[in-house]
Amino acid sequence: MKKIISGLCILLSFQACMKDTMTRTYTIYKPIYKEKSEVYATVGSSASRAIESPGKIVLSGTYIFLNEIQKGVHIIDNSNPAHPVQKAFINIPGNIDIAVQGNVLYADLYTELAVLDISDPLHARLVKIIPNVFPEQSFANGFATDSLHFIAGWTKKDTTVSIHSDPISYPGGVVFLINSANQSVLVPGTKSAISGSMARFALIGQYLYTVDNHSLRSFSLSNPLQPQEAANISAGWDIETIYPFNNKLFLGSKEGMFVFDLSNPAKPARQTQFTHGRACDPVIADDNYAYITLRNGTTCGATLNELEVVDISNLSATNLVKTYSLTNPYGLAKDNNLLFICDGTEGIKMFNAADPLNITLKKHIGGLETYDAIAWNKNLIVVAKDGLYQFDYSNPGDLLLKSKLAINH
Amino acid sequence: MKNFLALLLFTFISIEAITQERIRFSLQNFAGLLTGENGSGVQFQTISGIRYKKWNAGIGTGIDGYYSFSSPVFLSLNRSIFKRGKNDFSLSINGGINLPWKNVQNHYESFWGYKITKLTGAYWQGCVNYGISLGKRKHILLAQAGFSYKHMGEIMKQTVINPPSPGDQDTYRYDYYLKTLSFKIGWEF
Repeated sequence: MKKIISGLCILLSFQACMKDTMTRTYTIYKPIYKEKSEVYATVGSSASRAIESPGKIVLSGTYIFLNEIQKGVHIIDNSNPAHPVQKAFINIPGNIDIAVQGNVLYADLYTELAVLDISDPLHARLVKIIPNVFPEQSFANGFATDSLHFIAGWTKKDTTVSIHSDPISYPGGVVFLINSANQSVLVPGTKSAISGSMARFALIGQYLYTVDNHSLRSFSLSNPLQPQEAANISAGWDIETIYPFNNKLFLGSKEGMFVFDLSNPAKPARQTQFTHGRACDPVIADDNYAYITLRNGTTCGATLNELEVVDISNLSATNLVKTYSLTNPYGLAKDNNLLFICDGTEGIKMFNAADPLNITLKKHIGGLETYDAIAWNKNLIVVAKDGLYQFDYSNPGDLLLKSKLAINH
Repeated sequence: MKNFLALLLFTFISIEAITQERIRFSLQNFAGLLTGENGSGVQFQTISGIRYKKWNAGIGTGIDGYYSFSSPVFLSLNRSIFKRGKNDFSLSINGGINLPWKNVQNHYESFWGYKITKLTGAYWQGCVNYGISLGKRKHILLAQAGFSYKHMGEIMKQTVINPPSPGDQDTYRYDYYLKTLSFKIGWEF
């Protein structure tokens, strides 16, 4: 017995040596800086190229402008939606958002607003650069640029560090990145194009409006090729999307929806706001209701996946009137009584929204991971992870696939 | 085919011959405690195998509750080193894989959009054993003390929408190399 006890004592004396080892492995990014003049020189048209990472969309006449995230814009001839044809690609490094009015393309170029003459899309011409319109793009991952450079790329290196007792499934040391998911919709009947609901650019009348994380800027387009900044307004925090409707601007933020009045289009004035739980949330509106999709699953932070219907008939007393459960909604579009929602991995859903308090699902097409949509003239354009889809919704009970431009992964 | 049938026949005859001699099946069930730098946890094991002379070999599985619950699956080898009467001292080693439990979705996963993948790792345990035979020596009361090691990991991915910085996902890999003292009591029959 003594031997056993002695053995146990010896064993216990080893407990001090029982050190757990824990490591965290992650990727370190270091910026590649480029001189601005060098980047500007690369802006322009080139031959069409494969779609790899599609972002925001704009429909202008018979052309679709499709953003290739951080790289530029695809120009697609959509004269026949059953057979869209890629005509050209405009190289715009750092591009995420676009707006089109007539023969002018407005695009973000890292921190700058670029103005391009696209009267001949095959020979787009950079006309003007307005600096520092999107200052938040000047820093990322703890790095910042000076006034002469952009962060044009990144080198990456995997690294492993020791950690101490980091609990299982706790995301320590997370770098939170700025979310710039947005789209915008333009008013039919103007010379402007129609954008998707995830946009951060909006065109209405003679003004271009842009949002960044916390600012709303207006630019006078009395000379479309020479926009002049008219106002820079503090709009709130975590602004994501902008949607123009009926002389109002509806801004979607992670905390809620802000409505700005355009009685003075040069200087939008905040009229009201509606607050919801923290989530990513593009917003669209009609005369009496705003439709907001909330989703989780990203850096936005949220626990909800739903559609919120907000009564805006009296803007001084907006109120939530109904919520509908969804899976992981992104962009949305509305044409008369039909509401289309990109429900992430669930695909595209078409609802009858004749009665906003009783919205009913009419058609659900799965098998595609959807991001944003434009519904116009019985043609639904959908940006999905694997391609640009077009559906015919002339029969309100059905969605018929017209075409698909596949993405080259 | 002929060779295969001959080998099969030889194996069958050999096993039959051994079985008739001293080989017998055994089942060991353990409950115990693991203690290390990050506190303590319970453990349960069951090992099914065969006992032949001084050797006991088998395959086992169980629950390891240290730091984060997991289920090791392992091969077990045990050799008697000293025997006096009903008392038997032996050494054992278990080695295999450690299967993490897929916990219920936690707050961080749903709120910040983290998708978590649990990783399987290595597992081993080395013990000194004491056994005392009960009744007609078919039942053995067991006590074990030794070292235990398990590796587990997880990959956490968070989707970033249209990032101004590279990639569309933040990915973190966590590895946990956990060493403990192990104490168990068990029952073999």
